[in-house]
Amino acid sequence: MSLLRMLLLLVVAIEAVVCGGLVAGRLLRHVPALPAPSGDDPQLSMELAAVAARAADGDAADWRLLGESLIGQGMYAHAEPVLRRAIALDPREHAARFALAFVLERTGRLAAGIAEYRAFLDMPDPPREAVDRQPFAMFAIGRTHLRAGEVTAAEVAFRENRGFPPADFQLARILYFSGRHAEAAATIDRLLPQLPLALELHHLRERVMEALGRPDDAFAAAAMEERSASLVETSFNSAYVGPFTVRHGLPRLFQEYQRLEKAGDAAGMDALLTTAESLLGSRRVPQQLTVLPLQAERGLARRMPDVAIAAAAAMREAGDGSALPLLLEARARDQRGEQEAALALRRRAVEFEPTAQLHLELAEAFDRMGDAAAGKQHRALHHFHAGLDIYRRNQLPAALERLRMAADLQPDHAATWFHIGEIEYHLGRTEAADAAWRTALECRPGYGRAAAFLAGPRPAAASSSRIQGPMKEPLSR
Amino acid sequence: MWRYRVERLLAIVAVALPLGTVASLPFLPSVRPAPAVFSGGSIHPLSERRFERLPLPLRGEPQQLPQFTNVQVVDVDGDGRDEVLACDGLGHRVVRIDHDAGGSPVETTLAADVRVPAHATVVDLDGDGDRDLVLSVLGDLRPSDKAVGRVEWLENTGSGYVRHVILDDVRRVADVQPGDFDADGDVDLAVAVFGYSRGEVLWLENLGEGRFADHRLHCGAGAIHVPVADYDGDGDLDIATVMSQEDEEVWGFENLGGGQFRPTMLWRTPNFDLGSAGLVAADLDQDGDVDLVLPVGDNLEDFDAFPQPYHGCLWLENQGDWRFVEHRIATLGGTYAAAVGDLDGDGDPDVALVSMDNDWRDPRTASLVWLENQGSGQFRTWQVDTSPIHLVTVAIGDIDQDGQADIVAGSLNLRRPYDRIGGVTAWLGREAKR
Repeated sequence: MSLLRMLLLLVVAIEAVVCGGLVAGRLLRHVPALPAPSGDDPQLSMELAAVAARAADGDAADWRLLGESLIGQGMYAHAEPVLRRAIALDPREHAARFALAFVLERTGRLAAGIAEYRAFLDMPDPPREAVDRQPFAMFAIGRTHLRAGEVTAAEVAFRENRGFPPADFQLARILYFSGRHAEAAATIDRLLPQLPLALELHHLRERVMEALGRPDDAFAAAAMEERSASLVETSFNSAYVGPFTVRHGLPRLFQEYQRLEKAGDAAGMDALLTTAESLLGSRRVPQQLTVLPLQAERGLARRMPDVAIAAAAAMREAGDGSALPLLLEARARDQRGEQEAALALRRRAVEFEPTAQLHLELAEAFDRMGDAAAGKQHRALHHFHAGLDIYRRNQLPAALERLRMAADLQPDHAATWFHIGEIEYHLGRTEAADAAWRTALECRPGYGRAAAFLAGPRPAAASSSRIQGPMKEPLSR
Repeated sequence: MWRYRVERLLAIVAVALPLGTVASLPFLPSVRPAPAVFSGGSIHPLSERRFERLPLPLRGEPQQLPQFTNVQVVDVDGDGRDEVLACDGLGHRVVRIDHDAGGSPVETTLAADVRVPAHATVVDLDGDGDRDLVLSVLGDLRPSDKAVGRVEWLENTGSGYVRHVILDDVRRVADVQPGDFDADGDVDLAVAVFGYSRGEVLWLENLGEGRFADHRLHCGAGAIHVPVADYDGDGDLDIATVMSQEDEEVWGFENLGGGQFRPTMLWRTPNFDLGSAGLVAADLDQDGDVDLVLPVGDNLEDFDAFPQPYHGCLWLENQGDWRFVEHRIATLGGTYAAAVGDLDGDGDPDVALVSMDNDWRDPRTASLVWLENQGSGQFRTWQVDTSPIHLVTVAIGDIDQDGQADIVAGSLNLRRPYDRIGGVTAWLGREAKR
């Protein structure tokens, strides 16, 4: 055998081994299992397939990204093997481990979920994001123990997580329900300075004070509930999943629409709406009732009222009986100069969806028509609703000013006087509060809440009544 | 020659093999078995009692994605025949579904422009001998702590209804039930103000002439239902409720007379994810007192829900003296509502359950089951149907007047998947079991 032949044989043999390995590797490669396309969102199916293709040829981060995208679409069960693959490729994938724990407990495998959260917490050298997630993982362990009915284990987990307000709150609940009221009260009192306007905290405090036989403190805590619009977060699921939901599909398009709207890019908005319309076709998906109001708004913006009227009619045809299509049509009728038709639509809408803005629009319309009495009534209700909105943002003096304006215009409106009484109470002016509640009762005999406040104890203004200033909106759960 | 031919061939193979491999690699499918995908959905044996599914068309054409919040089987107009009374949360209306002479469903809108009705109660509120409606107005289907709720009275005038608002400036109202709580001969009302993170339970004292005084019984979020019954057997009407938000609790309000009530916590769970979804009063064990049936499985707080092992139905057995003992009688992922009635005609009360969030990606999972009461506190679960999905409300009654119990359910299509879409659907009982 010649040297050349030997060399060629050697090359071919080596190539056969290498190529065989490549082929075998390719034939045996891990491919993500995606759910069958449902037709709900064609854009989503295409985009997920592309992410899955990248993962099949990619590394642990690609698999984790796919897992998170699946979580964002509620495909928890399909996310599990994907995340396991990410961890197999890189055992240091902290985010994938956290996501796997989340998926396991959300699909009802509680013990396995707890074990994965523990594994996440035990991972060495956590990056910054993983460190930030540790209290959430600890909280999830406690919460999952509660879901399994393991109260003692939950208490241990929440105690391990002391200093994390949601965990402290859950600990206080466990203490209250297990009859350790004094310790519960102490835990709440430690939390209150951090969360002075947390609704559930005041509600729990009310129950604890009742259990401790302190009715005045219970009354004061109950009174705080009305103006405490922030919430102690007890479920982080939405906060965790939320960013994943808008990565793909129609939600991504709508997020892009919002960006274009903020930028004032009318052409971009129109183009994107056209894309969304063609994607939606006649599919029965909720995004139809997202696109139609946007079409109406675009019609109004371009001074094309017929477009808006057609979109409002399509909304009603799709079953939307809310005030929104009425109000969109009213604005279109305004543009067409059909003031009476617009007024009728607004009057119909305000009967079942009263808002400060709508009452203002009606007040202005009636003033223009010279109907001073109707205008005055709607202006009073405008101030009333605006005052309540401000009150529930804990801006007491500003809210009181608006409510007094409402009372001046419509002095027989019982609810206005009731809420004036509430605010006066919180400002420590109990005589003024009592006077307002008495007026409320005169306006509406049988006004139970006013009677209850009048009959209630009169502690000096609640210790937390001095809390002032704007606060954040309630958190979603 | 031969010798060089072999070398040429080897050279060609040496070039073609890697090229061919590289070119074909992207087209090679994986032969690795797909990983197993977990399903936590509930599947039960098919019902031996036969039910015939009958979608009840509304407005001629199906809505995009119907959102029915409540269905009942009740005699709305006092003609001695039961009709379907449904609350259309998307259409903001209350509808009655009857049958015409030919047996086809006919829809009548009883009230429009009702901002998300959660329940309609048939009651003679003004004592004039006809049937009025009292509406529980949620105000917003989405989570909200705004005072968007109402209680409205649709006064029956013979030729139609006249609308009165009898309670407003309250948060989302989920249920209203009637009863003469102060024994003064008129109809008072128990009110579940669900709210969101704030809510309450009220009773409204009837002052006459359409005026009511509100009295707070309990403060807490998530009151869903207020079933009224004589739970302690002392001859007056008491009130129960289920709180379903942070504190998952069942409360009883013992009527002490003179408009006074004593609250008692009857049941609670440390699992604040349990998802209490309603409360039904019924003497399930036929021992002469009123028990409570608690469907559990609401997880609307999640973007995308998944069935949990603790979802299903609990029977709270009344053991007297305001003591209720929990028994689990069914497991069904995403259970959202229960109804009690004799579905197999054997004289004892059975239970129908519907699911909002079973594992819908598995087409075999149940959307409707019934629990056969086998006596001695034992219940057997039978699967009735897998479609439509996203069912949140259920009622039992004889809507076709054939002497056999039927089931009616309503769909709330808020979540994926958007298939097997229903509005109001009936399952007509067709034969006695076996």
